Amino acid sequence: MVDRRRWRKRPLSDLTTAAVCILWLASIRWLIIGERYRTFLQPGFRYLLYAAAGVFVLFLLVAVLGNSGRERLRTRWTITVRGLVLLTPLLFMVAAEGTWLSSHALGMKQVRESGDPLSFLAGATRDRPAPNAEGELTIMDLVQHQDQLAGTRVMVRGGIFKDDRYPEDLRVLFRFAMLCCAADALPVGILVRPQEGAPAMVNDDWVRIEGILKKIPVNGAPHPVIEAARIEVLPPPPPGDRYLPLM
Amino acid sequence: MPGLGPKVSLAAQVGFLGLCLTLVTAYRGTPVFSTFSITFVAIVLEAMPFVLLGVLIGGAIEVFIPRDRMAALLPASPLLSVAIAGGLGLLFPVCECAIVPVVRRLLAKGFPIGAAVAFLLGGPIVNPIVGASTLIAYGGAWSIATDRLLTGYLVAVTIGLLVGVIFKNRQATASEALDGSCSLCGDHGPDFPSPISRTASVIRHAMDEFIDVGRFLVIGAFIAAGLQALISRQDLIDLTAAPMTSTLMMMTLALVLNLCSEADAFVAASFRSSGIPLTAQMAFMVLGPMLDIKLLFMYLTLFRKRFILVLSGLILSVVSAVMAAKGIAQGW
Repeated sequence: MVDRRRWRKRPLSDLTTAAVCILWLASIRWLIIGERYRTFLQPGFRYLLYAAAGVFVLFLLVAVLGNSGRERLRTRWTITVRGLVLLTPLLFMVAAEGTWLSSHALGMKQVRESGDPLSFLAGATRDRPAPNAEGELTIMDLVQHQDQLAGTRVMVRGGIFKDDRYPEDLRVLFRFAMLCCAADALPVGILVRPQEGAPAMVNDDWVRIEGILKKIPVNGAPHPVIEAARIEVLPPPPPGDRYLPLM
Repeated sequence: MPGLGPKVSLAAQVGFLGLCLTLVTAYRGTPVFSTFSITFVAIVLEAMPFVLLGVLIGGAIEVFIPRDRMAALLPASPLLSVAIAGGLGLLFPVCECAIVPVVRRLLAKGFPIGAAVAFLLGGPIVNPIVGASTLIAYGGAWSIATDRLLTGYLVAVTIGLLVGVIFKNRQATASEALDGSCSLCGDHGPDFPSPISRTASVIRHAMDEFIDVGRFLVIGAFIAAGLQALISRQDLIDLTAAPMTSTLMMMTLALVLNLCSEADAFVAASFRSSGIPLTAQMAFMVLGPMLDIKLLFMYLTLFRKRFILVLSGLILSVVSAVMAAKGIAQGW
């Protein structure tokens, strides 16, 4: 039984801390279920979230069971507002449910002159990339091994973006490669030329494309382009499928 | 917020809460909102475990290391203590988010300001994890990884020595951080009869520290995410015209992007194909872990505003000078 008189006498800072911890713990659980955290973080961060949850449990235990008997902050307002500020990320976490880094983020993160921002990894692995169980390669595979794969049939998935810098008949198929979190995600993309009669695609459609990878001149420079024989518009991907691992 | 006065600070935080509610209600579902909210939450989630680790270490320092013992931990010579503190990251590899609450507690225990700043600035760069990530990002180029660690160390120690000469602890440190006699331990230092009560005290200190430092992480991450969602990297790149300009541009990018020191080498390396000189990439990798928007807010829990201004100026000046010297040496 909770001793109500003892509870009422507790400092507000303890109660605020307990509330903050409970809400953060609930959010971490929500993030782990269905791998929602992968909208924001790379898979390995799951363990760091567990560790954070462990610390929140310790805080909660001390805030609930221990009692300093002294108020440590100046006013009730100060305490309440500090607690609320710490909870604002949870509001945006829920508001971002079902969204992903889209072509808007691509526009913000890409650098025009660089072509492929991941070209610095080219040559890191010389072996020809192996397709997954569904026969798909990743856009990063195609970009990094474009010379080896030129002339072969490839299948790849990603988001669609109509980039005005390229000819009207070309689209960019893009993904983001993530090392730690979405803030450091780097865009990686490849040009696609849909055949006549291909399904209509709008920006941010998630598609699977099958076709021949060719290196052809685009805007005066050779670019890897997939001559798409088959395009399949897919439902939006689950969080775990949205990003490519950078490492 | 420290240095703003309690009423202004409270009003600023209430304004922040109002802005958050307005954004969610008015812009939810738009592409800009998605980019912003994913980036904001990602920065907070990535940093949160490390901040929690930092506050726990800070709590342990508070409870287990008496103030008079702190002075004995470092050599009496200011030069030597700063030189050692700048390289402590090799033994305690922590990122910039975890190091702030640790340094806060060290300052409260009387750690010299020069050594504290050298540890604060050097720790997130001069550490094996950052060395390894830089090595991987640059395709196994030991020279670049070593250069980054040495340059970071040089800058951290230089600034540590300068602030050690210019400032005394009390002139630099925020009054909240300087208050070593916390409300839990009273004015006579900690006196805990059992290991359980000591452990509980460590956690309670950590808890209070988290509530205080955490809000600065949140507000800093919010502003950083806003800049990432509203200003394209290309717009920043377009400012580039000459090598020195590109260094300044990459430094601006480091301030804006607020990346973790363990991940930023990959973003820096991605600029190689843009023709950005290595010196400018190095400026990005050295400056970012020492100064960015998120850190500026977190520094408010450590230092007085005037000191933060001086420290920021010193960091920008020393990094620029070192990079200019490197650029000249390499013939630009």
